[in-house]
Amino acid sequence: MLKSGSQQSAGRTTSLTLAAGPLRYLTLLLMLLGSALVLAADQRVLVMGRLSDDPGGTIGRLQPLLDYVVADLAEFGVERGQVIMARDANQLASYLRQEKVDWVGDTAAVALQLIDRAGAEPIAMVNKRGSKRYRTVLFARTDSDIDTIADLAGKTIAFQNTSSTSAYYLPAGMLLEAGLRPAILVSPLEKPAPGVVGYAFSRLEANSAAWVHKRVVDAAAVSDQDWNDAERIPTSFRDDLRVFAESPEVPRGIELIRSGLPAELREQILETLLNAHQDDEGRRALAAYFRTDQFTEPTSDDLEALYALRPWLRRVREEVE
Amino acid sequence: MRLGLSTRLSLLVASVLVLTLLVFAWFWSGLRQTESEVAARAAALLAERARTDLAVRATQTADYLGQALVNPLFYVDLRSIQDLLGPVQSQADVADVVVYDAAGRVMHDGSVDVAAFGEQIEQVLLPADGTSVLSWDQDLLRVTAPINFNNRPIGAVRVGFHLNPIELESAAARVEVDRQLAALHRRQGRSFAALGLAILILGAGSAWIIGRGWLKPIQELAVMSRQLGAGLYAKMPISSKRQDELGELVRSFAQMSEALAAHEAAMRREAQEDSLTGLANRRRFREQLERAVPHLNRKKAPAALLFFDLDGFKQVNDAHGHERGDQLLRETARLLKQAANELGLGDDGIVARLGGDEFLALFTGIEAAQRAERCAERVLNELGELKSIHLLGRSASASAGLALFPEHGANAKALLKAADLAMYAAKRRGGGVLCRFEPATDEVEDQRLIEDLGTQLNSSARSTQLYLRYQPIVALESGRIIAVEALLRWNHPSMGELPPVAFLQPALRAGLGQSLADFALDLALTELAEWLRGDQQRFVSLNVDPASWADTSLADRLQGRVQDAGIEPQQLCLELTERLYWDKPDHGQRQIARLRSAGIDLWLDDVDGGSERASTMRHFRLRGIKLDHRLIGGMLRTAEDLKQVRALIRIAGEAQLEVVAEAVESEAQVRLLREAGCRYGQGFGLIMPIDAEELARRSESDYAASP
Repeated sequence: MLKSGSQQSAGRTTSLTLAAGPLRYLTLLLMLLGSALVLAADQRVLVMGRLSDDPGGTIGRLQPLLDYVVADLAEFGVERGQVIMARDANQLASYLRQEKVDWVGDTAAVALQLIDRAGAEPIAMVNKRGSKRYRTVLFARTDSDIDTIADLAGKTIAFQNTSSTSAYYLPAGMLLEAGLRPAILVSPLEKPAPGVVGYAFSRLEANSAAWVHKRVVDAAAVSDQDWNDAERIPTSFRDDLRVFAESPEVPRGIELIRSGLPAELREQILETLLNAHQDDEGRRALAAYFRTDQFTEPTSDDLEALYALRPWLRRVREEVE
Repeated sequence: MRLGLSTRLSLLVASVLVLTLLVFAWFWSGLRQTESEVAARAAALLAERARTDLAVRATQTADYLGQALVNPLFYVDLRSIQDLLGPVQSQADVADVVVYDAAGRVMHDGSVDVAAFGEQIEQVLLPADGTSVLSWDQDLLRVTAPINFNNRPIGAVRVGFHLNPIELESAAARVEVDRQLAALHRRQGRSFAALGLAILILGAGSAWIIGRGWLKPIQELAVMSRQLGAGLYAKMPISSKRQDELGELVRSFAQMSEALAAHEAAMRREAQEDSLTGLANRRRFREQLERAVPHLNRKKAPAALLFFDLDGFKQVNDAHGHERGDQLLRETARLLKQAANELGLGDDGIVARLGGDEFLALFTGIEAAQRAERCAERVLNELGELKSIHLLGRSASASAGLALFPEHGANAKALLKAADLAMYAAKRRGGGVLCRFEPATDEVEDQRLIEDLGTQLNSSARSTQLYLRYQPIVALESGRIIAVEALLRWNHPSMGELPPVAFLQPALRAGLGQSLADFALDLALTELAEWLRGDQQRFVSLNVDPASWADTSLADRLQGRVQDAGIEPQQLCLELTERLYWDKPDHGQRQIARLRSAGIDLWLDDVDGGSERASTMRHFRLRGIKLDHRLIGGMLRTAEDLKQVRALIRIAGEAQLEVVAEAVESEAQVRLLREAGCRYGQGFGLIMPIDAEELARRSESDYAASP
């Protein structure tokens, strides 16, 4: 009786959570939005922005670092940190322009758009696994007849989502570079027109790998980092897959601040970020922040590699979207 | 088979006990069966409930998945599908989860590597109306929910649930219930056994108490009752200290026993004793004599019978009144008893008053004759010397007759008759003497008697010596006189009053029977004509003598007399004996036919059982029968006689004959006769024979007394 009761209540809790899920996020969003509108002006709150289709999962990665940084900004009147999620780059750019967001961290393609559209300033580069660069790999089943990019004509390929640098902008750019004509599919199960490369968004790296493995699509694009991450691509799948093309290296992740952020704040934020890996609390915050090793100041090489993406991006937007 | 109360009680108690125990057993087995059925039903319900619960959960799960999987399936978002299926799959009783598309291709099986992806499932089920479908397998419940996009199924999710957990749980519950039931049955069994034992003890105990406390006294009473029935009143120790109904019964029984004993003693006295003198009465004497004869024969012992008759007793009565007469009778009795006792009566001897002024003394054994003679002498002497009774200067005297056994009579009747005749011989000598019976002198005496009788009958003037006495026949119920039997008497100038026995046989032998009969008939009709005319129901009854019966003109003569008297023919009746009829049956038949056609009624006299049967009675075409005095006398003493009386009354009733009991002497006889259905009776106990005047007077008072 007691047991079944607890089961019942557990079930109810689950269903409530499920039912209220979207509503809760919407409420959270509105709340954050409202407070940002008020607080951004006198800068008592430091607001971090992020692109995410999974705000619930993402916030836990951001808040420790934000709090770590905010702790050093007390002398500037900053009392706390807040996170705002956005669905796409345009939305995020808009927040930056309106000074609703002070700090954003993202991948190269999104960073470029924020720089270009909102005048955001890159202040630090993300280092992971001893590298601040990464690349895209294209893979197919080992038993497929695709050996080069060119072989993708008339085939289908899985991308992740439209914000992804490594799983959209870079591979789409590679297709264009190879003279292929990508065309979006209604469903990954659809067959492309002859000569065209059909693409579909899989949302997750894991789906991309599964699609290829299950022959839903012919190929997929992921970062080399994900390719080597067994959690994203199960080993059982990868054994049947092989990489047949790679992109040039691009910066892994870039931290940006809005234009017009007081200089003393900018300096302090940068200093805190660059030194974060020096203490335990900082390391913990970094680990939470997408398993970052440390932040480094952008070198000219870094910026060059970043800006080198600009034509790819423009071409993808113009020719693919 | 005869079963005693205690046996029956034991059987009853045993039956009740067995029945009770059977009911218990039946009830218990019914209870056990019901409990088992309830347990089985409960287990079935439990399983059914678990199945229902499972069906609800399965439906909810599938429906939820069906809705949640729309977008993931649409986008082939395998990871999201896996995330949704994961929690479902991790449930213990979930066998498998499969998501397939509209074509029935597996899109996901919940595994990390989606091993079954793309496989064709066997039975593609796409529930069209949007609701999930349940299918029960042997050990699997499959629920299939559609995955609808824009109200059209784009696939379905199918979840399989193991059923064996339910069955295992149900079986475990059943085992537990059975275990508890078994324990309950053991407890019930002990309770029922204890209860059964208690009932057994209680039943046996109450049977013992009833048997001991109630049946034993009843059995004792039954034993006493049998003793009572056998006439053993002697001091039966009947008493009880009980205060209940049984005690009451025992005390009542004791009272009844005492009352019966007293009553019996009184009856015995009444039946066998002469109330005036305390001597044995006629009946007792007759019995004693009849009993004595075979004894004496066996022992070859002699006996002597003395017959006394007071001389002129009628005159004593007339002159001095009945009181003085009674006194004389008592004195005579005292003298006779005293003398007989002093002389010794012998083993079978007895002193009795025969009735009227007649006394008898039977002496038995050695020198019986001598003792009898000395006794007679003493009595005759002492009577003459009686000073205590004044008889107007005359001394009392008696005539005595002596007859010896076996010389003068080898049986009771003959001996009595011999003594009687010897006594008449003494009378003829003027009385006051003892005469020994002598056959030779008897015939001479008879001859003189016949001559006297002839003179009386042939005289032109009506005889003053011959007269009639009328024995009334009364209705036992009301005591009213309905008829009379005419009895001829002879008041002889020298011998005193003679009964028919003294002169009838000699008269018949001398051919005077017809004359005697005519005389009696004429006299009766003359004396009774008025009485008879007073009520046509009344009748007079005459004994028919052999001479009259032989006369073929009997009917005509009787008819003439009846007409002369002015009465109805049926008011004259003849009493016929069987012996007379069977002497010449053919003549008898014709005689009866003539009498019947003349309207004269016939009665069968001296009926004492044996040959009389309903057919015989009808054969005689009778008006009724008269029960013999021996039967009526013996009725009070022997069951056989009483039975015989009752049988005769019943047979007569069936033949529609009237019944008259003769020689009714006591109130007890009247009561028994009435109980047996006899309506009429005659005898000393009712009314003594009376003359015509007395009859007329009594009849008047009867009418006056009647309502």
